[in-house]
Amino acid sequence: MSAPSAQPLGWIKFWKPKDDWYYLVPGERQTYLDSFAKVVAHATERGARLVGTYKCRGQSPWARFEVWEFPDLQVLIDMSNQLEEIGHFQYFAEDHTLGRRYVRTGHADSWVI
Amino acid sequence: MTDSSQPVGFFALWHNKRSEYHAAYVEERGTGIHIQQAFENARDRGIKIFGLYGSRWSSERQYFTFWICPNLTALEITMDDLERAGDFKFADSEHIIGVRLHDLEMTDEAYLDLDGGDVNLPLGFFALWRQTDAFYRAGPEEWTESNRAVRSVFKVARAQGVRILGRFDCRWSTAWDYFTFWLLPSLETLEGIMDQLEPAGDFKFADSRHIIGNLEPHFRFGRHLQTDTDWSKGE
Repeated sequence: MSAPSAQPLGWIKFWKPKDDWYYLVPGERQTYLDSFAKVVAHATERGARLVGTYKCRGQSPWARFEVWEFPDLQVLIDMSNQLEEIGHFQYFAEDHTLGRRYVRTGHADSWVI
Repeated sequence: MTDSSQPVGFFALWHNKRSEYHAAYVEERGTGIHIQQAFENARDRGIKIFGLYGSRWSSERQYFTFWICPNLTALEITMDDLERAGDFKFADSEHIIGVRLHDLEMTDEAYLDLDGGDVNLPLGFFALWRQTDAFYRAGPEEWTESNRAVRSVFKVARAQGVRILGRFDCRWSTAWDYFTFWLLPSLETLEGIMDQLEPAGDFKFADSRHIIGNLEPHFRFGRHLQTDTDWSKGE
Protein backbone atom coordinates (compact mmCIF):
# COMPACT_ATOMS: atom_id res chain seq x y z
CA MET A 1 0.00 0.00 0.00
CA SER A 2 2.82 2.42 0.79
CA ALA A 3 6.57 2.71 1.03
CA PRO A 4 7.95 2.13 4.54
CA SER A 5 8.71 5.33 6.42
CA ALA A 6 11.85 5.96 8.47
CA GLN A 7 9.70 6.18 11.61
CA PRO A 8 7.40 3.36 12.76
CA LEU A 9 3.66 3.56 13.24
CA GLY A 10 2.48 3.48 16.83
CA TRP A 11 -0.75 1.53 17.36
CA ILE A 12 -2.93 1.48 20.47
CA LYS A 13 -5.47 -1.29 20.94
CA PHE A 14 -8.12 -0.98 23.65
CA TRP A 15 -9.95 -4.24 24.20
CA LYS A 16 -12.37 -6.21 26.32
CA PRO A 17 -13.99 -9.66 26.09
CA LYS A 18 -17.37 -10.17 24.42
CA ASP A 19 -20.02 -12.67 25.52
CA ASP A 20 -18.74 -15.49 23.33
CA TRP A 21 -15.35 -15.41 25.05
CA TYR A 22 -16.92 -16.08 28.45
CA TYR A 23 -18.78 -19.12 27.15
CA LEU A 24 -15.78 -20.83 25.55
CA VAL A 25 -14.64 -23.95 27.39
CA PRO A 26 -10.93 -24.07 28.37
CA GLY A 27 -9.98 -26.25 25.41
CA GLU A 28 -11.62 -23.85 22.96
CA ARG A 29 -9.86 -20.91 24.58
CA GLN A 30 -6.52 -22.67 24.22
CA THR A 31 -7.20 -23.42 20.55
CA TYR A 32 -7.94 -19.74 19.98
CA LEU A 33 -4.84 -18.64 21.94
CA ASP A 34 -2.63 -20.98 19.90
CA SER A 35 -4.00 -19.41 16.70
CA PHE A 36 -3.54 -15.93 18.14
CA ALA A 37 0.10 -16.70 18.98
CA LYS A 38 0.72 -17.75 15.36
CA VAL A 39 -0.77 -14.50 14.03
CA VAL A 40 1.37 -12.44 16.42
CA ALA A 41 4.49 -14.46 15.53
CA HIS A 42 3.88 -13.83 11.84
CA ALA A 43 3.46 -10.08 12.39
CA THR A 44 6.57 -10.04 14.59
CA GLU A 45 8.58 -11.72 11.85
CA ARG A 46 7.53 -8.82 9.61
CA GLY A 47 8.73 -6.20 12.09
CA ALA A 48 5.74 -5.64 14.39
CA ARG A 49 6.70 -5.01 18.03
CA LEU A 50 4.49 -5.30 21.09
CA VAL A 51 5.77 -2.50 23.33
CA GLY A 52 3.58 -3.34 26.33
CA THR A 53 0.30 -4.68 27.70
CA TYR A 54 -1.68 -2.70 30.29
CA LYS A 55 -4.71 -3.10 32.57
CA CYS A 56 -7.25 -0.24 32.61
CA ARG A 57 -10.48 -1.71 34.08
CA GLY A 58 -10.66 0.84 36.88
CA GLN A 59 -10.27 3.93 34.77
CA SER A 60 -11.80 3.34 31.35
CA PRO A 61 -14.62 1.50 29.51
CA TRP A 62 -12.02 -1.05 28.39
CA ALA A 63 -10.39 -3.94 30.22
CA ARG A 64 -6.91 -3.76 28.72
CA PHE A 65 -4.84 -1.87 26.23
CA GLU A 66 -1.73 -2.67 24.26
CA VAL A 67 0.86 -0.46 22.60
CA TRP A 68 2.48 -1.74 19.41
CA GLU A 69 4.79 -0.44 16.72
CA PHE A 70 4.64 -1.46 13.07
CA PRO A 71 7.18 -0.81 10.32
CA ASP A 72 4.41 -0.06 7.83
CA LEU A 73 0.65 -0.07 7.49
CA GLN A 74 0.34 -3.25 5.44
CA VAL A 75 1.73 -5.38 8.27
CA LEU A 76 -1.00 -4.01 10.55
CA ILE A 77 -3.77 -4.52 7.97
CA ASP A 78 -2.60 -8.08 7.29
CA MET A 79 -2.50 -8.85 11.02
CA SER A 80 -6.08 -7.55 11.39
CA ASN A 81 -7.26 -9.74 8.51
CA GLN A 82 -5.55 -12.79 10.02
CA LEU A 83 -7.25 -12.06 13.34
CA GLU A 84 -10.60 -11.98 11.50
CA GLU A 85 -9.82 -15.47 10.14
CA ILE A 86 -9.35 -16.93 13.64
CA GLY A 87 -12.54 -15.33 14.99
CA HIS A 88 -10.72 -12.82 17.16
CA PHE A 89 -13.45 -10.17 16.85
CA GLN A 90 -16.11 -12.68 17.83
CA TYR A 91 -14.42 -12.86 21.21
CA PHE A 92 -13.11 -9.33 21.71
CA ALA A 93 -14.42 -5.79 21.22
CA GLU A 94 -11.69 -3.32 20.36
CA ASP A 95 -10.96 0.30 19.58
CA HIS A 96 -7.80 1.45 17.84
CA THR A 97 -5.82 4.43 16.78
CA LEU A 98 -2.46 4.82 15.11
CA GLY A 99 0.08 7.52 14.46
CA ARG A 100 3.59 8.13 13.25
CA ARG A 101 6.36 8.38 15.85
CA TYR A 102 7.99 11.81 15.90
CA VAL A 103 10.65 13.64 17.87
CA ARG A 104 9.42 16.28 20.30
CA THR A 105 11.91 19.04 20.95
CA GLY A 106 11.64 21.98 23.35
CA HIS A 107 10.17 24.19 20.62
CA ALA A 108 6.41 24.77 21.03
CA ASP A 109 5.66 23.89 17.41
CA SER A 110 7.16 20.45 17.97
CA TRP A 111 4.41 19.69 20.54
CA VAL A 112 1.28 20.43 18.56
CA ILE A 113 -0.06 23.19 16.35
CA MET B 1 -33.87 23.38 -5.76
CA THR B 2 -35.82 21.67 -3.02
CA ASP B 3 -34.25 19.64 -0.22
CA SER B 4 -35.43 16.39 -1.74
CA SER B 5 -33.58 17.04 -5.01
CA GLN B 6 -30.14 17.96 -3.60
CA PRO B 7 -27.31 15.39 -3.79
CA VAL B 8 -26.76 13.76 -0.42
CA GLY B 9 -23.49 12.34 0.87
CA PHE B 10 -23.92 9.21 2.99
CA PHE B 11 -21.20 7.77 5.22
CA ALA B 12 -21.86 4.47 6.98
CA LEU B 13 -19.54 2.76 9.43
CA TRP B 14 -20.35 -0.48 11.18
CA HIS B 15 -19.15 -3.63 12.84
CA ASN B 16 -20.65 -7.07 12.80
CA LYS B 17 -22.78 -8.42 15.65
CA ARG B 18 -22.73 -11.71 17.50
CA SER B 19 -25.55 -12.94 15.26
CA GLU B 20 -23.21 -12.91 12.27
CA TYR B 21 -20.82 -15.44 13.81
CA HIS B 22 -23.72 -17.75 14.67
CA ALA B 23 -25.64 -17.51 11.39
CA ALA B 24 -26.11 -20.64 9.29
CA TYR B 25 -24.53 -20.67 5.84
CA VAL B 26 -27.95 -20.61 4.16
CA GLU B 27 -28.82 -17.49 6.17
CA GLU B 28 -25.57 -15.81 5.12
CA ARG B 29 -26.22 -16.62 1.46
CA GLY B 30 -29.85 -15.51 1.54
CA THR B 31 -29.07 -12.22 3.23
CA GLY B 32 -26.09 -11.63 0.97
CA ILE B 33 -28.16 -12.09 -2.18
CA HIS B 34 -30.84 -9.69 -0.93
CA ILE B 35 -28.25 -7.07 0.09
CA GLN B 36 -26.54 -7.27 -3.30
CA GLN B 37 -29.93 -6.75 -4.93
CA ALA B 38 -30.51 -3.70 -2.71
CA PHE B 39 -27.16 -2.30 -3.89
CA GLU B 40 -28.10 -2.91 -7.52
CA ASN B 41 -31.41 -1.15 -6.94
CA ALA B 42 -29.51 1.74 -5.32
CA ARG B 43 -27.27 2.08 -8.39
CA ASP B 44 -30.40 2.07 -10.60
CA ARG B 45 -31.61 5.05 -8.53
CA GLY B 46 -28.38 6.90 -9.32
CA ILE B 47 -26.55 6.24 -6.07
CA LYS B 48 -22.76 6.08 -6.42
CA ILE B 49 -21.05 3.65 -4.05
CA PHE B 50 -17.36 4.48 -3.59
CA GLY B 51 -16.15 1.15 -2.28
CA LEU B 52 -15.83 -0.76 0.98
CA TYR B 53 -13.06 0.14 3.44
CA GLY B 54 -11.68 -1.95 6.29
CA SER B 55 -11.22 -0.02 9.53
CA ARG B 56 -10.70 -2.69 12.22
CA TRP B 57 -7.11 -1.49 12.66
CA SER B 58 -7.91 2.23 12.81
CA SER B 59 -11.12 2.50 14.81
CA GLU B 60 -13.80 0.73 16.83
CA ARG B 61 -15.62 -0.19 13.61
CA GLN B 62 -15.06 -2.95 11.08
CA TYR B 63 -15.96 -1.28 7.79
CA PHE B 64 -17.10 1.98 6.24
CA THR B 65 -18.48 3.06 2.89
CA PHE B 66 -19.23 6.39 1.26
CA TRP B 67 -22.07 7.04 -1.16
CA ILE B 68 -23.39 10.03 -3.04
CA CYS B 69 -27.14 9.87 -3.61
CA PRO B 70 -29.02 12.02 -6.13
CA ASN B 71 -31.46 13.01 -3.37
CA LEU B 72 -32.61 12.04 0.11
CA THR B 73 -35.54 10.02 -1.20
CA ALA B 74 -33.23 7.63 -3.09
CA LEU B 75 -31.32 7.00 0.15
CA GLU B 76 -34.51 6.47 2.19
CA ILE B 77 -35.83 3.89 -0.29
CA THR B 78 -32.46 2.11 -0.24
CA MET B 79 -32.46 1.98 3.57
CA ASP B 80 -35.92 0.39 3.41
CA ASP B 81 -34.51 -2.17 0.94
CA LEU B 82 -31.57 -2.93 3.21
CA GLU B 83 -33.85 -3.36 6.23
CA ARG B 84 -35.96 -5.88 4.34
CA ALA B 85 -32.77 -7.64 3.18
CA GLY B 86 -31.75 -8.24 6.82
CA ASP B 87 -28.68 -6.00 6.70
CA PHE B 88 -29.20 -4.63 10.19
CA LYS B 89 -29.69 -8.02 11.75
CA PHE B 90 -25.96 -8.66 11.43
CA ALA B 91 -24.49 -5.16 11.65
CA ASP B 92 -24.46 -2.36 14.18
CA SER B 93 -24.06 0.81 12.13
CA GLU B 94 -23.70 4.57 12.38
CA HIS B 95 -24.93 6.72 9.49
CA ILE B 96 -24.00 10.31 8.69
CA ILE B 97 -25.64 12.34 5.92
CA GLY B 98 -25.11 15.82 4.48
CA VAL B 99 -26.07 17.93 1.48
CA ARG B 100 -23.37 18.44 -1.16
CA LEU B 101 -22.20 22.03 -1.47
CA HIS B 102 -20.92 23.79 -4.57
CA ASP B 103 -17.22 23.76 -3.69
CA LEU B 104 -15.03 23.14 -6.73
CA GLU B 105 -11.76 23.29 -4.74
CA MET B 106 -12.98 20.30 -2.76
CA THR B 107 -14.54 18.34 -5.60
CA ASP B 108 -12.80 16.16 -8.19
CA GLU B 109 -15.72 16.09 -10.59
CA ALA B 110 -14.36 13.22 -12.71
CA TYR B 111 -14.28 10.97 -9.65
CA LEU B 112 -17.94 11.54 -8.83
CA ASP B 113 -18.75 9.03 -11.57
CA LEU B 114 -16.51 6.35 -10.06
CA ASP B 115 -18.36 3.12 -9.30
CA GLY B 116 -16.66 1.16 -6.55
CA GLY B 117 -13.25 2.23 -5.30
CA ASP B 118 -10.03 3.00 -7.15
CA VAL B 119 -7.36 0.36 -6.51
CA ASN B 120 -4.67 3.00 -7.18
CA LEU B 121 -6.07 5.03 -4.28
CA PRO B 122 -6.39 2.33 -1.61
CA LEU B 123 -6.87 4.55 1.45
CA GLY B 124 -10.24 6.16 2.27
CA PHE B 125 -10.34 9.21 4.55
CA PHE B 126 -13.53 10.63 6.07
CA ALA B 127 -13.40 13.93 7.97
CA LEU B 128 -16.07 15.69 9.99
CA TRP B 129 -15.41 19.14 11.38
CA ARG B 130 -17.03 22.06 13.19
CA GLN B 131 -15.89 25.55 14.07
CA THR B 132 -14.26 26.12 17.44
CA ASP B 133 -14.47 29.00 19.88
CA ALA B 134 -11.18 30.25 18.43
CA PHE B 135 -12.97 30.74 15.12
CA TYR B 136 -15.59 32.97 16.68
CA ARG B 137 -12.93 34.94 18.57
CA ALA B 138 -11.00 35.66 15.38
CA GLY B 139 -11.99 38.21 12.76
CA PRO B 140 -12.63 38.06 9.01
CA GLU B 141 -9.01 38.84 8.18
CA GLU B 142 -7.69 35.88 10.16
CA TRP B 143 -10.43 33.59 8.82
CA THR B 144 -9.56 34.55 5.25
CA GLU B 145 -5.84 34.04 5.81
CA SER B 146 -6.33 30.60 7.35
CA ASN B 147 -8.86 29.54 4.74
CA ARG B 148 -6.46 30.56 1.97
CA ALA B 149 -3.65 28.55 3.60
CA VAL B 150 -5.89 25.49 4.09
CA ARG B 151 -7.17 25.66 0.52
CA SER B 152 -3.61 25.85 -0.80
CA VAL B 153 -2.86 22.59 1.06
CA PHE B 154 -5.88 20.99 -0.66
CA LYS B 155 -4.37 22.02 -4.01
CA VAL B 156 -1.06 20.40 -3.05
CA ALA B 157 -2.95 17.27 -1.97
CA ARG B 158 -4.76 17.05 -5.31
CA ALA B 159 -1.46 17.53 -7.14
CA GLN B 160 -0.12 14.55 -5.15
CA GLY B 161 -2.96 12.39 -6.44
CA VAL B 162 -5.51 12.78 -3.65
CA ARG B 163 -9.09 12.80 -4.92
CA ILE B 164 -11.67 14.83 -2.97
CA LEU B 165 -15.30 13.84 -3.37
CA GLY B 166 -16.89 17.09 -2.18
CA ARG B 167 -17.81 19.08 0.90
CA PHE B 168 -21.12 18.32 2.56
CA ASP B 169 -23.23 20.38 4.94
CA CYS B 170 -24.32 18.31 7.95
CA ARG B 171 -25.16 21.10 10.41
CA TRP B 172 -28.81 20.08 10.08
CA SER B 173 -28.26 16.36 10.62
CA THR B 174 -25.38 15.96 13.10
CA ALA B 175 -23.40 17.71 15.84
CA TRP B 176 -20.85 18.65 13.15
CA ASP B 177 -20.76 21.37 10.47
CA TYR B 178 -19.29 19.69 7.39
CA PHE B 179 -17.76 16.48 6.11
CA THR B 180 -15.63 15.35 3.20
CA PHE B 181 -14.42 12.04 1.79
CA TRP B 182 -11.02 11.57 0.15
CA LEU B 183 -9.30 8.78 -1.78
CA LEU B 184 -5.55 8.65 -1.11
CA PRO B 185 -2.57 6.78 -2.56
CA SER B 186 -0.99 6.11 0.87
CA LEU B 187 -0.95 6.82 4.59
CA GLU B 188 2.26 8.79 4.10
CA THR B 189 0.41 11.15 1.74
CA LEU B 190 -2.22 11.77 4.40
CA GLU B 191 0.43 12.36 7.06
CA GLY B 192 2.15 14.92 4.82
CA ILE B 193 -1.14 16.76 4.31
CA MET B 194 -1.86 16.85 8.05
CA ASP B 195 1.65 18.21 8.67
CA GLN B 196 0.78 21.11 6.34
CA LEU B 197 -2.75 21.67 7.67
CA GLU B 198 -1.48 22.18 11.23
CA PRO B 199 0.60 25.32 10.49
CA ALA B 200 -2.16 26.52 8.13
CA GLY B 201 -4.35 26.93 11.22
CA ASP B 202 -6.88 24.29 10.25
CA PHE B 203 -7.08 22.77 13.72
CA LYS B 204 -7.15 26.11 15.50
CA PHE B 205 -10.46 27.00 13.88
CA ALA B 206 -11.96 23.53 13.53
CA ASP B 207 -12.49 20.57 15.82
CA SER B 208 -12.44 17.40 13.72
CA ARG B 209 -13.07 13.67 13.65
CA HIS B 210 -11.08 11.60 11.16
CA ILE B 211 -11.57 7.97 10.13
CA ILE B 212 -9.32 6.05 7.74
CA GLY B 213 -9.58 2.63 6.16
CA ASN B 214 -8.11 0.46 3.41
CA LEU B 215 -10.06 -0.40 0.26
CA GLU B 216 -11.36 -3.97 0.54
CA PRO B 217 -12.41 -5.89 -2.57
CA HIS B 218 -14.43 -8.42 -0.59
CA PHE B 219 -16.83 -8.39 2.33
CA ARG B 220 -16.23 -10.67 5.30
CA PHE B 221 -19.23 -12.33 6.96
CA GLY B 222 -18.13 -13.66 10.35
CA ARG B 223 -14.86 -15.43 9.57
CA HIS B 224 -15.88 -16.07 5.96
CA LEU B 225 -14.48 -13.83 3.21
CA GLN B 226 -17.14 -13.56 0.47
CA THR B 227 -14.97 -13.69 -2.63
CA ASP B 228 -17.94 -13.78 -5.00
CA THR B 229 -18.81 -10.12 -4.32
CA ASP B 230 -16.48 -7.33 -5.39
CA TRP B 231 -17.00 -3.93 -3.81
CA SER B 232 -13.94 -2.28 -5.33
CA LYS B 233 -15.27 -2.83 -8.84
CA GLY B 234 -18.84 -1.97 -7.97
CA GLU B 235 -20.22 -5.41 -8.83
